Amino acid sequence: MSDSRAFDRLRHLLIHRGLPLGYVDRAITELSEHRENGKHDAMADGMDPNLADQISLENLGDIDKLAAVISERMRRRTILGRHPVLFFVIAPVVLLFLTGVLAILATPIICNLIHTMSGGAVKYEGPPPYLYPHIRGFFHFLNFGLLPILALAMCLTARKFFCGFRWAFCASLILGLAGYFFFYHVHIPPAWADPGEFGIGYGFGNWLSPEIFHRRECTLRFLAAVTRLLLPLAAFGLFYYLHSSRRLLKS
Amino acid sequence: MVKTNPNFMNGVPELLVLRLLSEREMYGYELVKEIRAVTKESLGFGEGCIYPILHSLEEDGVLASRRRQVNGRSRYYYRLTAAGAPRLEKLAAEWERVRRGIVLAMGGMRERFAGV
Repeated sequence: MSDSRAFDRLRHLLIHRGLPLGYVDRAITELSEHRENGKHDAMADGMDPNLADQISLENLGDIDKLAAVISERMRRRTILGRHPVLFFVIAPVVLLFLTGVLAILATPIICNLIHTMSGGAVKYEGPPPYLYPHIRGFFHFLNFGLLPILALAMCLTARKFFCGFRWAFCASLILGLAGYFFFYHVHIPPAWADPGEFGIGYGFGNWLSPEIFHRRECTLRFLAAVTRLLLPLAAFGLFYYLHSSRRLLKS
Repeated sequence: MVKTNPNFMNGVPELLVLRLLSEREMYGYELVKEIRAVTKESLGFGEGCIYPILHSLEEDGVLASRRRQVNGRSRYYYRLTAAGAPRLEKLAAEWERVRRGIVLAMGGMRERFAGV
């Protein structure tokens, strides 16, 4: 591999792993100066310039391994980088459920508040019918909007702490799987007397349930689950595409 | 008694770098040449690996760097900071403890196998 091609490759690898451009520039500068020094010394010892060029480049070490060492060092500087399993495997699931549960707990409070603010003199006994579509919309957001948002947040975190796309993908996949198996459900009653029901459901746990025979509902549930699985992965894909193209263009 | 030894091998390059930079400031290539000279080329490593070590030590505040023009060539020179001296002492003590342990273990093994 020629000198410039090797450094171009190293630069590409480091940028691709999410290292800051300023740091990449400095590392490349020092490495190319190092190679120049090595070549200079080899030529001073009477070596052929082409061979000196080749040897000095080889002495730097394998470019792929060097990129891995540099990014690993950067990653290990941060607490997230030192404990990626905790932050990119466990934390997304905890975050997803925590956000959802807090939202569910907040829903009746917000409904009550809206009811009071809109001059409801009657004692609050459940969400008023005019709020039904909003509550349903909110639960659709919890089921379909929260997952890609959390996946994007995880991707940005992975980039900020130099953890690389591997962990960002891992977090997105975990969120997708959580979305596939679990969902937030709301049952809004037709009558005021019933306060309704908010909770976390699991789509495919009870195969003996009679609802398995309701094919249409099952198909819809399955499609919804697949959508929830794919949404965080799509968010990751978008992030990966934008990140790679933007950074490489910038460089 | 210290039970864990996370720096068993990880700390060795740092130790060498800090030890050599405690004598005088050097640039990366010079440092690599010096390591080869003092270890009589017994340590084989990709020379490029020295830079991530220098950068992380600099980030930790153990080393400081400056750009210097020497013979028409601009280079990053590294030197040990005040915070670097205790780190060097700690790593050296750790290494000495590990070395003594290994020497004892190897000696014990030799005695055991000599009796076989």
